[in-house]
Amino acid sequence: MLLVAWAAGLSLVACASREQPVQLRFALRDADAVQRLQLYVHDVALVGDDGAAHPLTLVPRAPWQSQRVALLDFAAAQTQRDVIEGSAPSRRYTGVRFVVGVPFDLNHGNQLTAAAPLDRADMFWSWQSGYKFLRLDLAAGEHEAAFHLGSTGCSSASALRPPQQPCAQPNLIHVELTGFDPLTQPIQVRIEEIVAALAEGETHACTGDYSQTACARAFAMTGLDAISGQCLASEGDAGRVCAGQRLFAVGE
Amino acid sequence: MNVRTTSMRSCAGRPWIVIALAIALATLCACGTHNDEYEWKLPPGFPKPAVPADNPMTPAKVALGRKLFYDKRLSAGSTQSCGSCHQQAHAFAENAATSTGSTGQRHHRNAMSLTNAGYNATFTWAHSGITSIEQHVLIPLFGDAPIEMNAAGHEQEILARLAADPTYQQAFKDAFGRAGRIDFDHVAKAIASFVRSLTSFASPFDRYAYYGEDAALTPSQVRGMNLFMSERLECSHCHNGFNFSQFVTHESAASDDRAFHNTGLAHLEDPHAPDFDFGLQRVTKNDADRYKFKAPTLRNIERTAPYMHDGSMATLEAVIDFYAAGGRVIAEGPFRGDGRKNPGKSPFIKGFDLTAEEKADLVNFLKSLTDESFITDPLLADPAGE
Repeated sequence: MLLVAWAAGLSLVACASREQPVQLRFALRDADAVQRLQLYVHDVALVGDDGAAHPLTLVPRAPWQSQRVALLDFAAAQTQRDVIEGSAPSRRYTGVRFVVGVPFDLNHGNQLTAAAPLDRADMFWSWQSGYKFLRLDLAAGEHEAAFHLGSTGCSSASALRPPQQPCAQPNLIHVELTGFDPLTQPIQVRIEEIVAALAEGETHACTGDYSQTACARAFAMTGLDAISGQCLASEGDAGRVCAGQRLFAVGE
Repeated sequence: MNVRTTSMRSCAGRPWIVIALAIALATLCACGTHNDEYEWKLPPGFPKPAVPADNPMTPAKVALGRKLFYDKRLSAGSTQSCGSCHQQAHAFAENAATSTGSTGQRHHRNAMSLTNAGYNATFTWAHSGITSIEQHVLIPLFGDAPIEMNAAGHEQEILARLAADPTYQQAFKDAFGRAGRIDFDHVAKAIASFVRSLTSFASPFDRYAYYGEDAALTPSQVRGMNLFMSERLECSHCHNGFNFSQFVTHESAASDDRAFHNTGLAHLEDPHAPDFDFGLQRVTKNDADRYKFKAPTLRNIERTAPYMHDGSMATLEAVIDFYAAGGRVIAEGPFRGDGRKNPGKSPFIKGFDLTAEEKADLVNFLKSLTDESFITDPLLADPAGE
């Protein structure tokens, strides 16, 4: 009995010494045009200087993050949430991996009873069944413009059953950024190319249909293929990383 | 014990108390069982709508849902309720080509009738994945493309308005038990229960078909009905069954979830024309689903004008002309093209010739599907005045 307690205590001490709190910071560039930018992130991992991915254990922190999903929220007036909090093994890191979106098994539950951060009604994508993974609303000149991304082509056999198969276009953006210290340097969120595409186009709302020229150009920023909803030109992370994504970057 | 002594003092005689207690007990029992059971208004032997296991129908829930359905405080600006676009006088549809949301945004589709909505296998004009009213209610409440009631981002404000109203505090308890939390899950469940209660089976057609009243239909309406059911017109291929819609499900039915149709309403010469509503394809992203919409119920169709998903046809005569032509030609504008030649068009839309009399008969038959009692039932109207 005593021995077990002693062993447990020892392992706790050992764990505590090997884990460190981590705050991943995001910085939105060109925030002036943005009315709101909200995005869900999951499966966050830090890339060690050994090249291995070390999962970031998210700290549940309502209303912003659960153990599985974190919400980032940049609003026009002021940034509400630009950080993901968690813990990871103590070591040196040179990169980060994360997925923009909501995990499939959480994307189709009852939204009205979902726990934070999946209780945000402005992220419900009810007519598509699921959540908006990324919601960008712009106040651009006389036109309001919007770019909303989430899984599309989701048909369930019945409302009482979530879709059994992944949606036709999962549209989960797998991001990998390397060559920086994620514990001290922020991740840049870049939307200027989307803003430019929407300002020029004949359509100013890309909310599920990205076939129009302007929407297709904005969609290209995600590094996703519009037909398959999978990463284009993947590399690393077992071939799942959206190498062509230009929404996130490090440095200047 | 206390109660009993007080009663004994105020009312003389033991037998009275026994009777009072018996009545009280009987009432309690009734509350626990009989009164909680919702009584459907259906012709004898009709199947009940399918009800989700986690949202059983009760009179209290239907009553709360009715109050919420008509309450403008459910929209952020307190300007619009469900009933603003789903008006009883129009069989819970709206006499407008397309609806306008609470912030002034124009919807791209026509408000659908809620007649017998509980039997719908799918909801909205073209969606294969929305299969319960509970699920559907989220779209008008929280949708942003277009904004309808604008509740997203205003959830706490709206719930606080309801919580500040003592009649709601009681009504949520009555509907959802002592905990009876005022939250959007309960709001959606109550509204869905009210909508599920909107059954309409008291039209002249029903009296003719289900109650055997030969005189309920005029000779012209009977001729029109025979045309409607004929292979020549093929109307009943898609508008079939007791609800005149292929999209019917009920407590013991398996529904045909692929019953969406391309009726030749358009065939874009420029398939990339911006902002065209391709219907089901918008949801499934499957190009074979372009131009496909569901066949809605024809019950109360006389009152739900204008017609089609875009409200582009003003009269039943215009709709019949469209089907007689086997599709629509759009001569100019970004959506120009010959819908009659749409390669994905349903084989049942092949066109037909009708005499003027036959057309009048068909319209008369469609009008026999109007259920006046449904449209005027005060129990389905805004309870605010009660």
